[in-house]
Amino acid sequence: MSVIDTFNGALILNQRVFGEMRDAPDGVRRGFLIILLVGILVGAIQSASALISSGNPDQTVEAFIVSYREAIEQQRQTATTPEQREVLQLFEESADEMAAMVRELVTLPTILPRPISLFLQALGQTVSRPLEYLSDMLLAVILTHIAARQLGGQGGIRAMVAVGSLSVAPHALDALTFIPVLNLPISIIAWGWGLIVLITGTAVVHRLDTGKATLAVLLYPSLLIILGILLSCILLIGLISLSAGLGA
Amino acid sequence: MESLAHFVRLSTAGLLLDVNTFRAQRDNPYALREGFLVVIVVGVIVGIASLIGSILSRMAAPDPTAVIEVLQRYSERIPLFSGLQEVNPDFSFDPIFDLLTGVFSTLQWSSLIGAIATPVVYVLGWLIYGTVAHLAARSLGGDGTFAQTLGCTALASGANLLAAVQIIPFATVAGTTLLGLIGCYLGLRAAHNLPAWRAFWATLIGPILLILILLVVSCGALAILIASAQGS
Repeated sequence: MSVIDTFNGALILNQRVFGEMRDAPDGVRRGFLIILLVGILVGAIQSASALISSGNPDQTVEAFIVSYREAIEQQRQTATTPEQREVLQLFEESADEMAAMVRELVTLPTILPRPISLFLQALGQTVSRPLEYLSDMLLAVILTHIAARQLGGQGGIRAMVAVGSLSVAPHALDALTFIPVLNLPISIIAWGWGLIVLITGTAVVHRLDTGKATLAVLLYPSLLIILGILLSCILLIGLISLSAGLGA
Repeated sequence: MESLAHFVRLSTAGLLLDVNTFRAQRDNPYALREGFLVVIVVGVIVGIASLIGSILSRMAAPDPTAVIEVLQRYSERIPLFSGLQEVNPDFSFDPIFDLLTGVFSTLQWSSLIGAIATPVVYVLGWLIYGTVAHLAARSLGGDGTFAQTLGCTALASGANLLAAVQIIPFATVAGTTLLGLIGCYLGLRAAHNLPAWRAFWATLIGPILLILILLVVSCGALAILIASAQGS
């Protein structure tokens, strides 16, 4: 089966494709190839979009100043004391000089001509994207595999990595996130679709029913979130006691 | 003596989690020697790639001292920073900029040092991890020899081949640690004929010990900081 057929089969949750990826000796290679293709597609489009905006220093400065002023406005709504308002006033007075500084920084000379430098930056971003997808997929697959084995699953980690790679296929939609209005909905759809592919894949690899496969996928991420909240609380208490100690 | 292509093939098999290659490595009488050469070859490839990448990124990015010079100049002109100095006349950005200039002048040699150090770091990491994992696997009922453990876990260093992406400037590496851990799991399972859960614990005992040591050191440092803050 070709990589494109595997990609299409993953998107429509074709059980035969999942079963074949589980049993294929070269399943991991094919899975990594799908991640590479999706990552390069998304990375190239996003980098090209960034290249268009960063290619013109005026646009870069304008984008900076817009986000700078937005941040000041957000802070102004929560500022309650005269000191806070005074600091925000200083931020506002600094806007023009900040813009001049950013302009000077983005136009600093480089050894290579500026277009080549910008192209290399875009290329670096492009090739980094598949590795980001791979890293996220591996973390999800490892946690899911541990939970699935605890729930009675019988699949191996190699098959899980091969089938788990299919969960990256829906992230081809991320290529459209450069459209400002569609950014968030597309990201959510891609993430949710990937989650469904991972649940289906877990059920196929470990021969579990959908309920147990869903539990396997969600169990450890949920526990990690709870643990993260608890650790944040402990850290907060530690910081409060530290500041109380400094104040005493 | 095997060719370079053989070691690249072995490391690629480790990268792609080829279970049959891990099993073949267990029965290989030269597992330790070939494992050592696999780690060295991967280290040299990654080292050379990162050296080329950092030279290119240096050529594609502005001179760091020029960036610091711009920041230093504007720190005196921007009202926000001059306001800080009015509130606290003793406050100055100069020590921070001096420190940054010193760091950048040191870092300009880091890519060359990194390229030379990469194979050495990989070999040291492999030997230390392999020793801890071997002790863990044996205590969990494994029957592999030390040479088999090192020979099989060496294939897991194939995951580091992903770091060769650094040949392209500004590229960031991700996923090598997790993929390497999965490779180590398969390697330990193959070398010691361990059941899944025992191989899992043998794989993770080393990293768990490292995390525990780091946690204890961090907590100790935090406790000393709090005690000194309350004492002063």
